[in-house]
Amino acid sequence: MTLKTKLTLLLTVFTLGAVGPAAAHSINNKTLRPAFGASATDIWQATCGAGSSHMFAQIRDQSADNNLVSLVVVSGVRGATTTDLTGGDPTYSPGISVNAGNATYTMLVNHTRTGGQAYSIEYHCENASGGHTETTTPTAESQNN
Amino acid sequence: MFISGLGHFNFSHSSLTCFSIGQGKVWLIFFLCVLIYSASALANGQTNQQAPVRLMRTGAVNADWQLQVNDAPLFLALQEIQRVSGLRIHYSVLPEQAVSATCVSDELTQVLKCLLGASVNLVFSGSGAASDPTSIGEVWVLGSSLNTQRSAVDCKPPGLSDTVATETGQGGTIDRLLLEVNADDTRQRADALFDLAKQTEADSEEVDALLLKGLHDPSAMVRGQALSGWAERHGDGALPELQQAMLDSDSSVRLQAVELTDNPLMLKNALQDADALVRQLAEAKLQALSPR
Repeated sequence: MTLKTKLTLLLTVFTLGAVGPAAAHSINNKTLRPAFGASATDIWQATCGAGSSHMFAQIRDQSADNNLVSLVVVSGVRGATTTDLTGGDPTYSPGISVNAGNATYTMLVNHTRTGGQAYSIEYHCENASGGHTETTTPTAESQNN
Repeated sequence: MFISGLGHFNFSHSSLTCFSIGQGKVWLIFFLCVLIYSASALANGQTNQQAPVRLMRTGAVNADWQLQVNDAPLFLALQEIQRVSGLRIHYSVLPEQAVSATCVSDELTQVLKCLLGASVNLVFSGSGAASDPTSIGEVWVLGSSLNTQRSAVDCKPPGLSDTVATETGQGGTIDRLLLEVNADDTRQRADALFDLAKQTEADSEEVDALLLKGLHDPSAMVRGQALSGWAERHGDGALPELQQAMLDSDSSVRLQAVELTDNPLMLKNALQDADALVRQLAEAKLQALSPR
C-alpha cells in the first residue's frame, strides 16, 4: 500500500469517526424550587419543523432522593409521560415519542413530593424513519417553578 | 231524554232504575239520579287524575318497587320515596328542572339510581338487604355528582378586583397582569411578575419597578419569580441582583439564582451554600462550563 493510499485511508477513518449520531437538544441544570411546593411545574415549549413526525424526549433527575421527576410531553391531543426512577445517576428516563408531526410540543416537568429538584431534558424532533429534523430551542421557560 | 255535558253515562244501570216509577215523580227522581251520578263521577275523576309522583310496593318479582314521576321536581320524588319507604334521604343541591321517570326494581337503591342517574354518587348507611329500606337506614346524595351548575361568584379568585379589564390582546393581558401583581394570592403575584417580564409592549420602567419591588416580596416564591423576570430582561446586567439573591434566607431563591447564572465565581461561591441542592446544582453547572 502506498503512502498516499495509507494517508487517504487514515483520513477517511478519522472523518467517519467524527460523524456520530446527531446531537440531541438539551435543557440542562434546571430546577423545581421548594417554594412552589408539591404543585411545582416547569413548562417548556419547542417546535418541530417540516418533515417531522414526532418528538422524542427523556428526563434525568439530578437529585439523589425519593422525590421523583417526571416529564409529560403534549401536543394537540397527543401526549406521553416518562419518569426517572433513579435520581442522582447519569442515566436518563426511558424515552418517549409523541406523534404530532410538525407542531409545537409542550414539555411539563413535575415531581412526586414537595422539595427542590434539579433536572435535565434531552429532546429532538424526528421524521418517520428516526432521522432528526428541525428542532427549536426554547430560550426561556413558559412557566418557571 | 238527551243528556249532554255529563261525560260517560251508564244507561244499563242508573237510567232504567230512575225511569221505572210513575211519570209525575219521574223528573224529580231523574234529576236526583243525575245529581248522584255527577257526584260519583266527580269523585272517580279525582281518583283517576294522575299524581305527579307515586311510589308503590307491589310485591311483584323483580318489580317490587315501582316509581312513577310525571314532570315533577326531583325533591318531590325524593319526598315520596321517603314517605312511602321510610328511607331517609339527605341531599344538598338538586337540579331545578322537572323530571319524568319510570323506575322499577326489587331494590330501592336501584330505583334511586334510576331516578338520579347511574353516575350519581350515593352513600348508604345501614346493613342487611338492599331491598329492605329499613335496613339501609339513610342515604346521602353527593351534591357535586348531581348538580353541575356553579355560581360564577363562587369561582371568583380571591384578592382580585371586580374591575379587572377584559383580556383583549396584549393590552388586556398587560392590564390584567398589572392588577394581579398586587393580588393577595401569592401564586397569582408570582405568576403575574413572571408573565409581565415577558411583555415587550409593557412600559419598561414600570415593569422594572414592579420586578425590583418583587425582589423584596415577603414570599420566596414571588422573589424567585421577580429574579427570573429581571434576569430575563437584563441578562448579564442582572449580576448584582443575582449576587444579592445568593444571600437570600430562602434556599428557593438561592437555587433560582444559581439556575440563572453561568458566572463561574458565583457558582464557586455557591459550592459553600448551606443547602445541598444549591451546592449540587452549582457543581453540575461548573462541570458543564468546564472545558473538555
